[in-house]
Amino acid sequence: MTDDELLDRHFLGDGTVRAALAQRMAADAAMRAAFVARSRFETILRRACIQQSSAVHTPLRPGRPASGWWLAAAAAVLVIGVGSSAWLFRNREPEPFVAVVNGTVLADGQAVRTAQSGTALVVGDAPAAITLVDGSTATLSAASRLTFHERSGKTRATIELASGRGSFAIAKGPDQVHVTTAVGRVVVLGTRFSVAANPAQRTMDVSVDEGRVEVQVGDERVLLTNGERRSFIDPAVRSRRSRDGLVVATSDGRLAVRSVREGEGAVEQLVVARDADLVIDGRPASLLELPPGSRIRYVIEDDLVIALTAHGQLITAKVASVEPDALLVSTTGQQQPLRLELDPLVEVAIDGRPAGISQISIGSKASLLMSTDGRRVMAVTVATPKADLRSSKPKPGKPGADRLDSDGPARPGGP
Amino acid sequence: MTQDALTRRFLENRNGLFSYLLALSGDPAVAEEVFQEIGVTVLRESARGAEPADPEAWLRGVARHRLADHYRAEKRKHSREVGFAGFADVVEQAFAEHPPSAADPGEILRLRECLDQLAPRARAIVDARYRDDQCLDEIAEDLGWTTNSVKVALSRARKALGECIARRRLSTG
Repeated sequence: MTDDELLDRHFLGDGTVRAALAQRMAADAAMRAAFVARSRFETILRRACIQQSSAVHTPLRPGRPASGWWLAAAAAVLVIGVGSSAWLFRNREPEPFVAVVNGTVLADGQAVRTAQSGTALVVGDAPAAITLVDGSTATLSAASRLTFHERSGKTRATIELASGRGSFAIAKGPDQVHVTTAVGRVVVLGTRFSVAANPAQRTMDVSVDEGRVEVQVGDERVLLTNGERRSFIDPAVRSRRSRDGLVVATSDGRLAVRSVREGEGAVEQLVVARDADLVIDGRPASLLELPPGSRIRYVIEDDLVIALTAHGQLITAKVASVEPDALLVSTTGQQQPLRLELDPLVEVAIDGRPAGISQISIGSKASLLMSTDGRRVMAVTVATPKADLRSSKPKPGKPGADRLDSDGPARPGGP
Repeated sequence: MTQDALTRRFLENRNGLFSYLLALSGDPAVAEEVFQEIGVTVLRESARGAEPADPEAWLRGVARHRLADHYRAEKRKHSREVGFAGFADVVEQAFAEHPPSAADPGEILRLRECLDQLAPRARAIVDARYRDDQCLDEIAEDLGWTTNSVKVALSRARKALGECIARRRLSTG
């Protein structure tokens, strides 16, 4: 019987060859090495088959449930502890698809060292490095958000970059790796490149350090090679423009706006889309509720206004007193403090962080965003003196806290 | 060594330990069953503060004893127990000489890619054996083949997979 036949029969569970196999192994170091290698191969082949079991491959007949239990066993050991029922070990759990080799990466707010396919990951406050099962690596900027997806068809792996920047070194292989953002997709076979996703601006920057990638954005296909870099913008927002203006007049479906950007007197006549997203003072509203004089930010796409938010004036004032539903403030040129009613939905931020109205300090300088009718305060932004010093250093003899400005006269009590 | 550390060592070496059990038993079902028992043993021993100097050797020792216990309990398989101790000695020697390397996730990926390249019939046979734990007789019956034909086909498929992995290992450096 050959060595291969001995190994075949042993790993098919034929106990009758054990003595012969032991004799061969005892006499031959190479046979012992082959035996260990074969047992390892049998192990990973079982794992691979269980992992990859799918409807693609028709079973010869309805078989027993796959028994890829040992990872689940291992995981369950950590999670459940002594006294676990053996049946728990029968549950299958996917293999890790990526491993964190440097830095901090969070999944569901917890730091992880490995992650399975499909797990949403967030990089901590410093860059991190991740390796994929195929040996590819990703170096990610702080706070990047991404998800790795395992093989799907002919795509070896897909890296879904929601935000942040990643530099990737993709291991060579016959199948493609995709890096996707909200803007488009980068298709690679094996190369080094970087992708930065900016979801707020709907842009994606791609630069290639080595090799070649194909960038797919909408119907556009762009090949980038060594040293090339290019920014792409989401086709859906290419034709969009965002502007600020003052409402001159409204009618059913139409809007006359004096554009701030285009200067005084430049009035633009616009058509508002039927399904436009209109928000006045933080609440959904109709166009007819938009008072003339309102300050608006609007988005135009294909000559239609598709979104509009309206608010009143922005006032800078010194807080004289804080009441549960109002603020008493001093403004330039006013002898007596003004009492400004707080909107029930008022948003307060102190030094850039959400806060409660009671946390506003007397004497602090606040920026107040008024409602379109000028009666209510919609948002309060306060910079504490310490934070304020960082942003604006008062000039000698002109203490900044005493200098109160507004970008126009406040209109307490109505327009 | 803390409980967590010992358990983690067990997790990290799970493939090597399973290979060892498979090497000893030649039977995946037996290896699976004993592996489960070892998992519970690891927890129990680590809770007691066990701090083996060589965790891998300790795990192999536990595996060997648990497998011997298993064979003793399975009277129907009494014949397998005969010569087990001597066989276990040489298997232990082989694994001590050639400890399975740490898990290489890339190897699993390469193998999965190679599985995708198998001809459908070969793939079905491999799945039947390694995924569904069917014996050669069952596979042969389903296919209408002889058992020996299945055995040959399985052997060829394994060889093709081994060569495929080697090629991919080279190509990916």
